[in-house]
Amino acid sequence: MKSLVIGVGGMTCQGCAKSVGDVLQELPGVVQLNVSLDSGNASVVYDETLVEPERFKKAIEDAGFDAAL
Amino acid sequence: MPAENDIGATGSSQGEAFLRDLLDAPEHILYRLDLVRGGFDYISPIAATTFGVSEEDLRDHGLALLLEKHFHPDDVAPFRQRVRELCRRTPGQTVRVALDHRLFDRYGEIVWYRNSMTVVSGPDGRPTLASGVVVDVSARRKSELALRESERKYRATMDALQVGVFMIQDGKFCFVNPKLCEMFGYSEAELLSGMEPADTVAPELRAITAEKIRRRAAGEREGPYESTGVRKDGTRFPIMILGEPSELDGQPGSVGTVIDMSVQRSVEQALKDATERYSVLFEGAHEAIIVVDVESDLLIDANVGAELLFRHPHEEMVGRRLSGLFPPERSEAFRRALLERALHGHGAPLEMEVLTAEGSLIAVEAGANAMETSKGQHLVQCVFHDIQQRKQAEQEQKLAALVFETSQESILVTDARGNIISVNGVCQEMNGYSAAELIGQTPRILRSGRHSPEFYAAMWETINATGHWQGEVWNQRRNGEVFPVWLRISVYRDASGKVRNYVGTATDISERLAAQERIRQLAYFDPLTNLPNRRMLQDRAQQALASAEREHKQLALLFLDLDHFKTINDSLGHSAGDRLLREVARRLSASVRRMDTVARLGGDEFVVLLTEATLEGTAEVARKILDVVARPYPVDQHELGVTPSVGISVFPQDGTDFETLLKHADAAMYRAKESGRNAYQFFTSEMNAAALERLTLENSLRQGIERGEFLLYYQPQVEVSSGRIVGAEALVRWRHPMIGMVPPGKFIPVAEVSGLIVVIGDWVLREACRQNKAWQDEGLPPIRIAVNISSVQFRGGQLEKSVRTVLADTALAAEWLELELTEGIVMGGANETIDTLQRLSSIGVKLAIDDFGTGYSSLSYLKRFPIDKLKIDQSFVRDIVGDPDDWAIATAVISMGHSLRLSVIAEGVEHAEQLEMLESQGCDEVQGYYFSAPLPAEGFAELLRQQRFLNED
Repeated sequence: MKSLVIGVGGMTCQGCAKSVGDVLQELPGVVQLNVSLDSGNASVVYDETLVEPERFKKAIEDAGFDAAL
Repeated sequence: MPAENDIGATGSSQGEAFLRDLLDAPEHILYRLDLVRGGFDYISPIAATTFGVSEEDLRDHGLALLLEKHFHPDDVAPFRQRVRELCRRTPGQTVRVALDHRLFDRYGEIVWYRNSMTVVSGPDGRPTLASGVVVDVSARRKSELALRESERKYRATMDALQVGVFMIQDGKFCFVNPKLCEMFGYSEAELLSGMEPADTVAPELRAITAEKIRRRAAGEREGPYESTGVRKDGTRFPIMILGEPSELDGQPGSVGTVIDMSVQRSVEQALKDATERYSVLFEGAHEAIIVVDVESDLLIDANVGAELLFRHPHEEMVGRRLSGLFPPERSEAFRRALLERALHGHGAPLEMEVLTAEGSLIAVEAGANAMETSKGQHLVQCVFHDIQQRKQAEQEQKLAALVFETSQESILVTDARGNIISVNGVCQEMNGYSAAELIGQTPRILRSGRHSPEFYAAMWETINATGHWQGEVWNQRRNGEVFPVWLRISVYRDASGKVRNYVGTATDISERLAAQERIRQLAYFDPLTNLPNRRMLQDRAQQALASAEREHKQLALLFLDLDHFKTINDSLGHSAGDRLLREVARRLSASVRRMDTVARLGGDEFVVLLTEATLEGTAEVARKILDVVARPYPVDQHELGVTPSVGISVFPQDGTDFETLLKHADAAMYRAKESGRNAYQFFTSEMNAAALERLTLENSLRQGIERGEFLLYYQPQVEVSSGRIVGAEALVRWRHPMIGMVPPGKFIPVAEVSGLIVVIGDWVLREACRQNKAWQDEGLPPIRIAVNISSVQFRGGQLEKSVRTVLADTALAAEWLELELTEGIVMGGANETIDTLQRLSSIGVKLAIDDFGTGYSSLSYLKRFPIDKLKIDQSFVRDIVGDPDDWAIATAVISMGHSLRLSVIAEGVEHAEQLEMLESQGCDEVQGYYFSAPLPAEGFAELLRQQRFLNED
């Protein structure tokens, strides 16, 4: 297991935070996550044998937000 | 009756009778009191009757009796004090005093008495004797009190009056009340000291005022009139005066009142203020308020709230019908309900819907009050409170309840202390508990024990800090089954920020995790052998490298490749090859420790990662692997033999990262293969050069094809019985412009791997045929030209077409072309292959099996092919003289070939002994250095010419 904090740009409400949480939760290997609107980031605990951090970035960007690993 | 006393004991009888009458008169009580003794020496008999006591008691202790029992308690102390004080001031003298005090008579009624008393005191100032007369003064006292009360009331009334009151006599004030003084700012004394009323009005009005007062004094009456008062300080104020003629003490005068109109004005102001306040309330209210004239049913007023609710501007609201405010189909019912409410007063608010200008309906609560104006107009004031939001909230709540129950997710709600208060159906189903079993418990009942207390502690820390948590959690069902859920926990706080509830939603993710596990398997394991794949190997190698580096240990990477595995796949099919690979995988796994990793990179390539390996230990493992892998494999009733070549690289000397170590082990493996297969080889730095050379070679090869750098050499094939050249094997050579001649053993494998062999093979076929035809055309004896065909060429499916095209193009007769095929191609077994060979054979092309004995030819299988010739591999021929096994193989091949009516040729014949032995067994043809090395076309043609001449000789 590894944990990672991803900077997420463009979240303006709890709805945004939920969207980001939903797309991350869909990814394989994600076992825990917390999306914080206040600090503008998403912390993820994941199984590194199942998912690459790049996929988090892509998923967040596909959902219409900016992501910085 | 009365006892004898001093008074009664003296005087004449007439005077005595008078005295007796006087003493017994009931209007007063005479007495003489011995103050030392405390008893009456004499007291009128009426006293005993009045107070209801006996004369003896009075005589013996009358003072105490009267003071204690009959004196009004408030009067006792003043009486005593007064008497003592008088006596002390004038000791030894007689003083007179009159005192009023209250006594209770026999009926308990208070009676006022005036006690006119003479007191005698001793030289020490102590009273000794008192005598006097007591008269009942109650009646007088009462009328006095009544008069005083009346005056007090009158005075209080005058004082309290909020209007000024005056009396005028002789044109001057003779009475004014305090209000009047206050009104004008004068003291009572000032006003009564001869001021004229005209002095208190504005100068311009004085004459009129004086005239009015005169007329009033003359008895003229007049209604109230307004005037302007002037205060002592000169300020003016409006007043209203009402005067009446009145006789005062028999003199003509007047009485009247003055009202301060500025106060009156302020009352008007107050009314105005109140109206404004009402207006503010009316306009400022959040509620919509309308006023309806009952008779006409029209709105006569509406506040801003109404404008906002109904979306009509004020001017459109006024004049609108009340019923027009509601949806048409219910307007009459609503209108009636409102009027009803207005008439009959209170009750729960009416719920109704109103219609806005935009046509939308809004839920409202309505109330109504009836009013009547001073003009008798009946009005109804209706108040509408917008409850649309509340209605929506109610609907949302219903919706939420519906969502709660129909949600596909498990939902569990706890109170602030974590006790479960609500669960939905999915939650019950998922966990196997009924709602009754869960409610009152905490969610700990669902814990599986798979997570540490620290896990939950961290979870709660996050929830309390951020209000949310989500993640994967393993729960346990009632039946003990442990399963994974994706859990989301949210905190619900009330408006004050206090935690009210925790809401947990969960989804069973068993299937998702299973899918992930499959993905992991696919991503990290080789599906054929279930060994880790390259990616997994890389992960493990990197971890092992990190640990080896930390602990200063060695580790080794063994790159293993099966020699000639391709032949097995080609000859026995992929399923046999797959089974072989699985068995190799099993043997490899069994040969290493748990801590080591065996991985399959693909094809027939395996890698073994040895952690904590010494060089000696590694070599030992390599030998063991060679041994176990080389043991026979029973596949499809065949005993297959396969040998591995193993290359080894060691951390840290041969590389410090996975890629480098793998590359170097690969290079070492090539070297092991070159050094004769079934061997292991440690990496040496020169091998890097070899690998580089291979790469360079492939590039050069491409260029060589483009530039036509290839040429053919020909090695004669000699018929043993006649000694004549009956054929030639075409052998490709590459003349590199820089390096010179490159041996085929060096570039053919590279060409095969890169696929360039197809292009080269086509060229060889065409050139060999062209050359053979050229020789025939030259008149040289016709021979067969043998061309090697690679399995790669065969797999392309273009071989038959190529052969036909070349034969047509070169006009060589098919019978002079022989194709040398490896066992692998023939045994590969596809019907397609058989068909192709049949067709080639049918047009006359000869077919030979090359390197016979090294592959896995099945003899029965062989029968099915249109084979013309077997070629004994040179490895058997080389030792045919010294090695009985090779001799036996050669002998068997020859005899078997003959029994199948195939001709047999032996290649690699270098000595006369070899030729003799082959001849002795009836071998049909031979090829080798004993006769001739491969020669360029010109050299070979020369041989043929010589032979022609030889034969002609």
